[in-house]
Amino acid sequence: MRLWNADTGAPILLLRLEERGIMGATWNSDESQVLTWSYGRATVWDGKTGDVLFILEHSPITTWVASWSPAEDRILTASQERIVSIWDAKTGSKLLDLNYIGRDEGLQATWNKDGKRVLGWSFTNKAVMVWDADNGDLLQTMNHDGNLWSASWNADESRILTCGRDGLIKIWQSPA
Amino acid sequence: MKRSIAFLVFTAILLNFSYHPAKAQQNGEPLLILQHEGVKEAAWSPDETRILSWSIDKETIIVWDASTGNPLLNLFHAGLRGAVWNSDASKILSWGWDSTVKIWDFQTGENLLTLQHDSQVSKAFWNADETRLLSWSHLGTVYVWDALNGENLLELHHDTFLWGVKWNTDESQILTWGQSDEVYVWNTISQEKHLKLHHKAETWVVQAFWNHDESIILSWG
Repeated sequence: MRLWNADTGAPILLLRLEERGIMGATWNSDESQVLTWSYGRATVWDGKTGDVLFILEHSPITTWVASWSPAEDRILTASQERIVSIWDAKTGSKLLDLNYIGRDEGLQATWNKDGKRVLGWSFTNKAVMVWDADNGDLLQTMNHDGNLWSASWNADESRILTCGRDGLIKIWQSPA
Repeated sequence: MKRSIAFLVFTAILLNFSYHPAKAQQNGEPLLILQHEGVKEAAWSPDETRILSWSIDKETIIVWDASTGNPLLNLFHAGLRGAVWNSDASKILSWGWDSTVKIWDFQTGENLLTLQHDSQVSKAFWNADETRLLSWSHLGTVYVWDALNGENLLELHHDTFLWGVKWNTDESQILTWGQSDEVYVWNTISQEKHLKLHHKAETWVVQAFWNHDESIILSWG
């Protein structure tokens, strides 16, 4: 992973990862940190020096997605072992594991707007799950009949739209 | 006989146990079900009164009433590979492997513009005020178009297969990356390569983007 001066093209920083490859990367809002995810881990880097601040370690299989909570106090990761983990973004310690049911080869997870809920679903499964991000309680499970292409909240998070490989699009009530 | 009855009872109990917990966690049935064979993506309109879905198999875009589930429009685009709303849901932008980008009137379903590419279109998107369009092809061509009259404003040729393209905010620069270890920054006025960011790696570049004030480019491969 490289950071470049956008005017001159001069390299600014090289974030060197020992793993095979990076799945994704994102800055936090003030760009003081970079979050990357790859095989088996997510890493938080100092955006200026390139130092590793934390390594959020799963077992050594793919981390499909990682993201900061809206307040950037927590980080979620979704891994190939059907687990969405929530981590303290200040200390790097794990706060919660949310267990997704069924097979999964592409577990996806997103925060809601106030960081109180997590929506989880998988490209190779029918289930969409909503958890309480503070205590890990499972609030809702929706079963689309076929495997999913996508699942997402609407703007006020009262509905969930699921789109499946069975040719069906479904709208669900989301828990208040 | 006794054993088989016992087995049946045992199986029934097992099924019962495995069935109920799953049932208890479900929150009923969906409010609405829309059927679009081969659907790949579905999205709310900005005001959430409509849903747009598109299908690769059927090469169709359907616009649905989000409360009744009635289909309002059914548009055919050969080789369809994507469709999105504009910001006020008055228009639909679609692109396809028929080498065209199309703009549709949402109310009437009329095809307002068809933009001809040199090859299969990978993706197309509007600029911020929706006066221009950028579209690009896997084979390496990037076009910028006037979104109102369809005039071709810019044509760039990335010299390898192309994986991704980004526009900066004032549209003065375009980032491209593809099947090499280089990221290019193009000046849209001179239509020349402004920068070559060379990873010097054996892997292809996967992703590249600007930071918020566009002073830094982050890329990886």
